[in-house]
Amino acid sequence: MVIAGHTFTQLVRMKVFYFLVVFAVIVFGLQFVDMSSLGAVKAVEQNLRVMKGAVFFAINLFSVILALSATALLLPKDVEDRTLYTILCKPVPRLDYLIGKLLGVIGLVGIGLLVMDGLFCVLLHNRVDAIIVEQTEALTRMGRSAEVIEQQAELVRAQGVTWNIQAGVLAVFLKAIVVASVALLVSTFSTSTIFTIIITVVVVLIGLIQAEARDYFLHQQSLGMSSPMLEMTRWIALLFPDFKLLGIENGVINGEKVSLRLAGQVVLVGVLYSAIYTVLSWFVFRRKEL
Amino acid sequence: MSNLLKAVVVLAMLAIVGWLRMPYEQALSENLQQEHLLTPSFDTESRASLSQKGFIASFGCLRPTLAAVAALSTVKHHGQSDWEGLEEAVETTVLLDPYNPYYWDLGGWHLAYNASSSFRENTEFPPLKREKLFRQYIEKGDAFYRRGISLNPHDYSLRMALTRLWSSNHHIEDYAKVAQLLEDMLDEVELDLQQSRRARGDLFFALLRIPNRAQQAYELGRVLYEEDIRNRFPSLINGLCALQMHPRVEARDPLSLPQLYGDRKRADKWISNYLKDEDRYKPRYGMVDLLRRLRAVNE
Repeated sequence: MVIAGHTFTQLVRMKVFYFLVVFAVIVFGLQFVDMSSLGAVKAVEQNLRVMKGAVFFAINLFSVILALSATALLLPKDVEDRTLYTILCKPVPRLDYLIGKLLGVIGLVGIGLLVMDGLFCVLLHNRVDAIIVEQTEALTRMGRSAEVIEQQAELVRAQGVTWNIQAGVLAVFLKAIVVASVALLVSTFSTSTIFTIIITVVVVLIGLIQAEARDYFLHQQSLGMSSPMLEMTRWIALLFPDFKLLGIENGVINGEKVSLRLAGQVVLVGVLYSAIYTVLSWFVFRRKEL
Repeated sequence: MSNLLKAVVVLAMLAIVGWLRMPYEQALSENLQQEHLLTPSFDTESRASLSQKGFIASFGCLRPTLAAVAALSTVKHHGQSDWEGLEEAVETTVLLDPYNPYYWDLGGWHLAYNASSSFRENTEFPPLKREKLFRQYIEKGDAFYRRGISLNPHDYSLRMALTRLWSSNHHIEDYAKVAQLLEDMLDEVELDLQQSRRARGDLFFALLRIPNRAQQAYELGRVLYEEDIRNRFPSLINGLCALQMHPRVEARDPLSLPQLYGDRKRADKWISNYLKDEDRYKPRYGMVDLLRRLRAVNE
């Protein structure tokens, strides 16, 4: 916990939270997006979907970049500052050191996400309220019954702040944790920050199409086919994490409900990936000559 | 242990864990897709049609935003009457965000209403070609709506949009299709009270216009009449009145004029309006005679 706290403080001192200002500007700007009148019928929920889509993209981007760059920086910086030698000459197991570093990054990403989530929810809630007021006035003028007005308000509310949004944010958090774990593994045998970043980005990119590779492999295998492509997709499916599984925010953006069971299964996948990469990081790092 | 050996061990461990987790990942992925929480993967053809966007769209979280941008481009294609470009834009939009019914509605509306009308009014083409393109684009719009419905089977608004298309008197009225769509919706979708009332009301008006389904129209109209006083719109009352006089309808315990209209004055007004309507599909059996007799009694 001491290492985690130290890592967190070390990263906060790098003024990484300034990105939140950019995030706030993006979310505020999205308040003015109006895409509801493109079709035949004005669909106010569509504006909320567009807003949620763009905000989730920004949240993903900031969290993953933060997790990746912070983790990639850690080991080289500790070596450069010689703090690594000070820590490891004490009876601190190397696994504790790695876990402490990872928890420091996770804490940083977690706090960043909490702030982004809070800001997003406040603005989304206000936007939903404003839309409902405007819609109620319009429907009342049109002489619609209270039942119809409430039904329309319910449709808008379904696109507003719900527990499902929090499930989406949790999925983003898990993605950032897995990215940090992959970066930690790479940094245990890498010699530079840039190398760690590049390799981790490649792993993330392949991880985003891992599901397609797995689908192809399983389908072709079930048909009894054999080809170099089959072998390639097999190895992609075996070696890389499936980042798409952690992307349930896509459904959340459209207002889909996330059951507790599915959310639990997604969390399990994220934790499993992170645990595997952390154990492997320890395996590489445990007897590494520094 | 050398670095090379370490790398081999790491890869071997990843492969073993990968082999163990693959069935779980596949099952979870299918479950999440079933619940519409994950968008389906692109096949090779779709990825190629997305060109550069295909790569960017691999970032799952970017797909809804890219879809919104693609949807915005329909405004430009619509303004330039570039219907092929528009078709491409709406296909890209729904490929990126297939579980958003709004985009299916947008695409279906552009193809079935705007593109079809534009071709019908395009005097650069000979009349037969105009008519052919008009029908072709209505069919394209219909197919687009239906693809949207198959991916979003529980969406009420998309199904209603398609029923509006086939009951629009500016297009090709096909009440058999409308009735089928509404019956499917009532069977397959969990509707709230308001939606169910609206769908059953619309089904009555569709059945009313299909000669060989007059009996079913009468029975449904009668249920709606008995069920709720709020259902007793002039169109329902007039429809029921006409169906009671329909030669092929077996009306058990038919409703009297006071039961249907309340008083003679209202009956005169509502029946006159019904007869003034130029809708050629509405049954008018005995309605003219009824109005004449009503007026004779009044005088």
